[in-house]
Amino acid sequence: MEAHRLQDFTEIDKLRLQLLNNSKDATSFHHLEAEVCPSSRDILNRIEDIILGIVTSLSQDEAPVLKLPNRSSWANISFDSTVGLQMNSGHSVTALRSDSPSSVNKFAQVLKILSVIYRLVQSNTYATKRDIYYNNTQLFGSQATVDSIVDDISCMLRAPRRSLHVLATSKGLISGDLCYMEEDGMRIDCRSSSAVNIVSSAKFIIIVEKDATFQRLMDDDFCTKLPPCVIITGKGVPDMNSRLMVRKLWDTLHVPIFALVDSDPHGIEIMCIYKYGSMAMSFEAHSLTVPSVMWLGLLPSDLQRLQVPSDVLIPLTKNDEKKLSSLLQRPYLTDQPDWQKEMEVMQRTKVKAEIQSLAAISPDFLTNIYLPNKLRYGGWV
Amino acid sequence: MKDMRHLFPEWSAHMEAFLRSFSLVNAEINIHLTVKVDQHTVQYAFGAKVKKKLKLFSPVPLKLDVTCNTQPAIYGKERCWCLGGHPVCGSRLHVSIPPHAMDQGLFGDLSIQFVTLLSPCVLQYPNLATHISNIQLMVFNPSRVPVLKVPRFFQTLPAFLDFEDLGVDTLHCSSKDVQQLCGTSTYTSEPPSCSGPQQETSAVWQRVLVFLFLQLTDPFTSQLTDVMATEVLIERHLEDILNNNRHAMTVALQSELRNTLKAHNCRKKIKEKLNSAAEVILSSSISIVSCSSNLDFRRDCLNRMKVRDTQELSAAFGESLRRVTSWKCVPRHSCYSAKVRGMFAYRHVSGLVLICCHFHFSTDERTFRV
Repeated sequence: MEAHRLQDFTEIDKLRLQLLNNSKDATSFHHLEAEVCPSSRDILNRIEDIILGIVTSLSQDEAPVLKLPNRSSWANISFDSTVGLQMNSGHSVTALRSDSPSSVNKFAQVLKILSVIYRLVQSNTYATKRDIYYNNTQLFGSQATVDSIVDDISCMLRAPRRSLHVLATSKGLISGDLCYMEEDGMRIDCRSSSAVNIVSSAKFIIIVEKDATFQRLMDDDFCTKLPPCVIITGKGVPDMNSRLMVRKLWDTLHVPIFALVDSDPHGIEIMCIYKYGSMAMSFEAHSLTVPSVMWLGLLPSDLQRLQVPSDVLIPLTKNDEKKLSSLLQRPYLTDQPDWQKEMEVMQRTKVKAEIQSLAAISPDFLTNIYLPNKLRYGGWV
Repeated sequence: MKDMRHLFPEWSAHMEAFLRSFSLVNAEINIHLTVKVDQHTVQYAFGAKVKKKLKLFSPVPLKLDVTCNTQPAIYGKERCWCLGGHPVCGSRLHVSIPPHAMDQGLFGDLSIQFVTLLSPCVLQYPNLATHISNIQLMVFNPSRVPVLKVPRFFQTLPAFLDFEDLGVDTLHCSSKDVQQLCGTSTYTSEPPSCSGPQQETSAVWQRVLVFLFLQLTDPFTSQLTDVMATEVLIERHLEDILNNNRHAMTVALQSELRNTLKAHNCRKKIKEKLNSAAEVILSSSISIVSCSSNLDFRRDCLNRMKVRDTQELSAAFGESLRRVTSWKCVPRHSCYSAKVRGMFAYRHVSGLVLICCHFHFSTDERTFRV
């Protein structure tokens, strides 16, 4: 029975072989990992260089200026099919002047967080972004300010956030045929970011856009009905830890990774973040993107093929159409003609649908028919 | 220049004030004054280095002397400084003529045109803190001659102005603080207590000049003799005119001062923002230097600031940061810029002492001798 079940999913095995042939040597990934992960001493030296720069400016009777790489400009981003969106080496910068009322606040906030990071790294302790915010709410004003500045500093120091000893409160969920140990030998839950020794016999991984869909799959025992698999969700736009986890699973297991998102521009964009990365975090693309992610569903062409009832289809709004056009302009789409075709179907039909709309066909359609058939017959693009 | 003041009677100060005020609003006229007392002869000259033309309601444009001789204490490198001012044409207030003034023959449409000037100009230094040292009100008749006798109205005016609303709550004025000299009422104040030496070096004292130009439109007055007679009437009844329009005058002056001092109040807010951020920048930077175990880094920081330890570094860092942020210069084409350098004592250039029995006026068109 088990053998018969596994035989039904030969398409996934074929895909896996194809991916293994296409991917680079695994050791090069580890080498790259070491390159982008500076040591504690490096971090301290880089922060000291910034302070010395400030002192030098003052000694020359000039107002200190901090230069932050501009993470929100497409002009600073290039596309590499093996990596995704990454920041150019010659990127533009935003100057924070200490003598300008419009930027002095941010200047002070950056310095404050730098001093916090310096002490954390020096003492080998950790703090969350929430801790940093609550230690000085008046200076920062909001959590979002701290989050953004931590990412700016990570980009400025050319170091991943985990090297700065600043943690985020986790958001993503993971389930399935997976267990791993922390470095200290403790078996922990799936929310740790320092996983080592991942052990899994999963044949594939499914990234689920929404928590609601994730819970639905859990309720229907999806992971036990099919070949060994892992499902993971970032609950919408994924945080760094969720993206790191997906990347870690790819690096370790090298199994096909599929995305299950709503058939709407927002879902497609979320899928692209996992696959190609985001503009804001392009400086860390190497450790966050998985260019091999495949689009499993819900495809716009599925809506027509499955004759999903029209009363569960939603017309695209003006913002949806704008986002769709913007996605079609993205540099990575030229590499994905099948994705382009699907998005053009959406543009033509002018409708979108959530994964939950499949329940209009039958309540268990998603788990018992749609997904198994997709996986069995290679229904991904 | 010899100080001859002790030789001459008290009216000399009034004469000087009169000529100075006259020269301020008639900048196209150069005034040469020769004083001869016994064997002593002294010559003075009133003329504008920096002039600004303003178009008022009158057909003849106003030419103001906006020269500013005040220089602040400047530390260190050569800096730009504006040697002029930027007068602002304010509102025009129509005032009613009291009945008994009309009985005496004063008719027509009487108004007061406000022009304000904040001096010295610090527009090129948007982060520089300013304090208001005094507010001067100067009244001119329609011929732009300073009114000789200042109405008592201006003595009591401070009681009706809301200085807190103007953001100059350090300006505590009572009638005894009001100096009146030849058409000018000056409201002065005590300097605020300084919280530290940096307050003295990075703040500039400014004064507010408010020119009140009386204007009369009467289609039946065209002969020169009639004009002169009308101006005598205006001066004679000025106290009553102002009292008759007390509320409107107070509101108008409050509004003019508020507009003029808007920039000053913005600077206060900017200064607070910069100071608050500077504290964080200082504490964060020094914290990193203090707890660093990198001797080279610490030594480099101390050497660059030319100090011996982190305590001195903290003081030098803070002082430097305040100085460079305060003296941020944004050059403006409209300013009358000149380069100034070095450490100067903060000074006002006071007016010349004028004692005259002989006047000599010259303009481009004609010369007057009195």
